[in-house]
Amino acid sequence: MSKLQIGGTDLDSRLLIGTGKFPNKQIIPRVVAACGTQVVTMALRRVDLSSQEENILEYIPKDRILLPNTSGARTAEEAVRIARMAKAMGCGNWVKIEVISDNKYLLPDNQETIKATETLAKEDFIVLPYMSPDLMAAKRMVDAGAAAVMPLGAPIGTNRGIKTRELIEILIDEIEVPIIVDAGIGKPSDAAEAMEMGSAAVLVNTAIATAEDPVAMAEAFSLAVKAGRIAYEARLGVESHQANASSPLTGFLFEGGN
Amino acid sequence: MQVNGKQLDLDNITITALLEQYQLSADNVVIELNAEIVPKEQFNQKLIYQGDQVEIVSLFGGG
Repeated sequence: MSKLQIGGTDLDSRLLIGTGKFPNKQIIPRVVAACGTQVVTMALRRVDLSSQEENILEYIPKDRILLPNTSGARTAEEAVRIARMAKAMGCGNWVKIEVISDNKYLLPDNQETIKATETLAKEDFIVLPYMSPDLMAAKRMVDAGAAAVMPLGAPIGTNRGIKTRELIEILIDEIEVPIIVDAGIGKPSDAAEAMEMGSAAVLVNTAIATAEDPVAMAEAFSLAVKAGRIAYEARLGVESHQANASSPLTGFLFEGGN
Repeated sequence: MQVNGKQLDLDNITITALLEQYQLSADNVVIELNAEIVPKEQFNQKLIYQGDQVEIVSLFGGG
């Protein structure tokens, strides 16, 4: 299986995971170990002054790449502000841009995302924009300096699978940076589908975090991502409507009979 | 001053003192003072005053 390169870094694992919605933080290191992910996302929020909260970083192994997201941003300006805070926090220079002002479907604002990508790439961030799969928007993100593009398979947290398949296939075909399917992946088979299509990687959070056994589910996703990638690199056979026998078609007992 | 949207009756204190008051570790937070990030090295000296807007931000689980 070939390595994935993002922003000059080689990655063995093509599964990125999020850290939201887990039943407890203590399970996160076990999930990370079970799936071998090398890139882990997290969010920034105001501290609640009335309660003592633990730092999520304590639960992420130190050798993983941190991918803070800009969730909560409604404009490019807010996303840039959050990204700078994440860097000041010591998260490194990777950032997942997420600009959302639609509260029902949480669909990203591609236009504001392009603007934020441009500003942050100029500040030497490795920028991974979360986006609605649209070819021109993806091209503009790449022109603005995106290190990868992260189209959604279905709205965040819905576990509905790759509903945007045909649009993502166009991005895979036309965009030179890695395409990472983010959001909507609900089952390992969805992850395998994304990888068989030629996605460079997938980002999974809800499907692992809300499984009854998140550690086992993390492993299942890891296997599915590997299987899908190996299948893609092995080139799938051609589909056809009519049958093509897999066994020899010559008669077995009756050939040349009578 | 306003800290994370809450009006607090404090004046002329360092960021370190403010964090101590809320039992927060400097390692776990980023501070914005009037929308400018304050480098951690300045937490001991930087004073905040009555009319200031302070944001104390930390990392949480997210996808």
